Amino acid sequence: MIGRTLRFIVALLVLAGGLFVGARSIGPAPALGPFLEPAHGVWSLARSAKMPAHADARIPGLRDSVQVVYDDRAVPHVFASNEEDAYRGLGFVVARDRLFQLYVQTLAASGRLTEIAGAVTLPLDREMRNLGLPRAAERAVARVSDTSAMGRATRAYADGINSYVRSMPASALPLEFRLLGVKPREWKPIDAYYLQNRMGWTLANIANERDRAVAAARVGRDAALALFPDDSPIQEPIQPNGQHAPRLDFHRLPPPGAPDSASMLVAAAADAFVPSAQFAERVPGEPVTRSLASNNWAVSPSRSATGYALLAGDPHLDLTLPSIWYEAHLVVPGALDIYGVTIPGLPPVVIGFNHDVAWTFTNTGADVMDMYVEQVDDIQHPTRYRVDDAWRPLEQRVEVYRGRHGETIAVDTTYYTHRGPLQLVRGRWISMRWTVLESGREGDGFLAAAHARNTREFEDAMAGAYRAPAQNMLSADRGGHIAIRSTGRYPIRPGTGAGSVLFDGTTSASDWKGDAPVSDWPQAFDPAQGYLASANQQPIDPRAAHIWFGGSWDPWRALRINELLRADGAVTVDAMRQLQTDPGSARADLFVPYFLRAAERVAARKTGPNPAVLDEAARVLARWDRRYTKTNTSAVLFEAALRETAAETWDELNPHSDGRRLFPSSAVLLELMSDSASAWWDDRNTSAVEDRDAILASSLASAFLATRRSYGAPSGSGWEWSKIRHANINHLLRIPALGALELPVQGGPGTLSPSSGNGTQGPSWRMVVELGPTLHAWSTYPGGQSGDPASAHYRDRLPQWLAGTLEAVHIPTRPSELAGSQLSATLVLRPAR
Amino acid sequence: MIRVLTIVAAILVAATWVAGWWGVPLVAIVAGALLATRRGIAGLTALAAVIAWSVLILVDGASGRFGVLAGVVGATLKLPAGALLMVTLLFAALLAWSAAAVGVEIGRVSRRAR
Repeated sequence: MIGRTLRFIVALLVLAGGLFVGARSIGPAPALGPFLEPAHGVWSLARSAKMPAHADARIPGLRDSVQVVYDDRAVPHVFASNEEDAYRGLGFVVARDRLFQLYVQTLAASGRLTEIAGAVTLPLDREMRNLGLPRAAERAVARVSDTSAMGRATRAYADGINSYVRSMPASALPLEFRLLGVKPREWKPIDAYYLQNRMGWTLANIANERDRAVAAARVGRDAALALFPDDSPIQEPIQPNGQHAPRLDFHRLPPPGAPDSASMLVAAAADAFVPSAQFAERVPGEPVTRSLASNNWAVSPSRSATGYALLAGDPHLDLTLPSIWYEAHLVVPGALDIYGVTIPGLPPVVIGFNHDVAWTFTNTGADVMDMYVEQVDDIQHPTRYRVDDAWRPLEQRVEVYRGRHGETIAVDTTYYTHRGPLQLVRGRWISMRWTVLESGREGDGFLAAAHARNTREFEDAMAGAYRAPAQNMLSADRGGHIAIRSTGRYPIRPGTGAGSVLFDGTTSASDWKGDAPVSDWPQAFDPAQGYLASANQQPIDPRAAHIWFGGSWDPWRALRINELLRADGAVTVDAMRQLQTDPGSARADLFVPYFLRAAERVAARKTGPNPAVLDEAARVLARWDRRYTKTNTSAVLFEAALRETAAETWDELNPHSDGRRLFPSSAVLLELMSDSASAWWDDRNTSAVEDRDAILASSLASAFLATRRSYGAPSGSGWEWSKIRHANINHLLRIPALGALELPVQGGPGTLSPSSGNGTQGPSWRMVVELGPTLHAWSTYPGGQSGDPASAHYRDRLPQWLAGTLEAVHIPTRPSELAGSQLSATLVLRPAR
Repeated sequence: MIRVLTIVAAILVAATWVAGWWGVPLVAIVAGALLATRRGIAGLTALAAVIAWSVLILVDGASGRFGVLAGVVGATLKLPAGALLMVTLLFAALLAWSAAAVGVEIGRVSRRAR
């Protein structure tokens, strides 16, 4: 009897425990019941990991059947009888391949990550909402006409996504939803606008004025302006300036001056609006924009081997699995035929081509965010703000942050002036105006440009609607034309026109006076030089500019592209491809001679570092061909020496008591090289007065010793670049097993395929297009079409991406053109009955 | 014995397919209550659950991507794929055994009451 009772109690406890862990998630672990059960749980995902050869589904709102054929690269070719049906089809196939990505990116963009991750993501969500990004999306949607192209496309796209979610078998629920214990919610057209604004946050949020303000607080305004200049010291602009070589606009840098503590208000305001930026990785000596950059170039028929225009593009963004891009082809016979990459969640093809025109973008990087010191009626609980001696009401908005189970995590009240969101910074209320918050018609630009028949039509379609984030839009057409325009909204400010100051908010005279006309935007159509190139350099020579662009510019990749294109009068498709991973470095070409000469001079002085060490370091550096190949063994020393030099040189900017590290760009460091006795070279921690050569030689010697300590003797394999420099492609949830980490890559800081910092940013898409009578294109990206980690197409393109090779893309004009091994699956979408 | 095992396992396959993991304790508690007089019914139900879930996993495993999936899920949870499979079957077995054992007591009590 006792045994039976005991057994019953044990059974009851085991059952209760089993039911508890089965039904409830504990910590990060999912509820085991639905997760493990094999009919619909995680194991059932194996049934959907491979796309069925044939499938069909019904979509409400579809006017006619849509046929989707997937090629052997898992690219869907969507054939529809009208454009709205094409975007419905696109929504369906994107959801089929990237459902979790759609969901998590939208939550991040709308400041709602706490709904899946809890309070740990509250700072990220607060940043989105305090910046006013979700509010801006709501306002953009309210402005969009129901009959506009973007209005119709986003609704159709949402129909497609929601139809997939409704028809999806339980077994196909992506792994990440199961791990988090959540289900996909209904997709709404506004989600597309959240994502669009998120791109603005990524690309139109430039740290130059913040860094300059912090520098002013440490070394005075004059020095700060020289160290973080508006104009690049190296001029190789996007809009050709008629030069046949880069121009070095080097000036003597003012010495460190008296700190200007008032400048810290600008930095504090920037920190208040974009707190995440102050934690951004700053590596001394590396290009200021690091790897979040892009390249594009086009060659006119006169300089191409085949006599056709050629175009290449590789946007550098966060590397993630699944990738930020989804490759697709939409065909509406007689109306639309567009191929390229879309951002999952946004209907338009962003980068790609149609039958006649190809296009690709780089980030312009102009400063389009301004701040104003406002006067409010009550510092603690403001309700009004003063402009031109009259009080205006503040818009108030209550932001509620919810947790995984709908519970309230936090409630904030945010305030808005007519300029934008308001923040309390060091006892002052500061408002912010930003072009990203006033955009919203960008999608219309893309949708119109999809129909362009030549570069002029493409550039004008984009200029008519696209505002933010400003992009250097490069295009080439089958007529042999090439063109580029830095398309975006550039506000005209009062006063000097510069936007890097805190404006007086109490007067409307501080407000933007309008926008720069298209004629003032940097641009070029069929230039005499026969090619165009952009790589985040200053878009227009300041001697030719009519407006202030601000921003921070990175010249190294532009120097290299221009050097290679100037030298090649018969560019081939393969040369375009090879350029995308070219290991050469304009930065190394310019800095290495300074190190070598310094080593020689300091050795002759018989002072400074150990002569044997310095001699060996110089020999290792001298034998380098300055190419960041995987097998080179000198780049590690050069990078260490440049980091050391930057740290030693900019010591005045980095007081030990302050955790915030600040480094002028490596272009400014090069500018300083031309002044060997500048006060900046002196190391304040020594009694001696150092000059350039002393610092360079000691940096090289100590970098050599540090590298030898870390990686062994330079003759061993430890110095090989492939063992040191890696790309790290994180999964969206940063789950290591679902990412691709420590991938050896060719390239380094400032090369065309840049790799720097922690390796999590880089070329997110590579494309080359030849615009002959029949258009040909080649592409790849780091990842694969499927978001399912168990799919063969989750990371199948990684080997090509790492090797720098591209695949020819299929561009069928009819579904039947894909056959045999080129065809991997078909899907027929029919109107819901 | 084998007949009972087969029938309970078949019912557990169907119950899991229809009701998900809740099907296991529900079927097991009913099996325990109905077959309360049969010796070792709780253990037999646990074995039936292991068989039922193994059959369903075999159905999933018919896809060529099962091995990849097991590796991915295991690595995500920092477990060997085989261990995760064992955890899955152990979970089914414990649920079935405990629910059947509780069912047995419920069956005995209800019989006594009659």
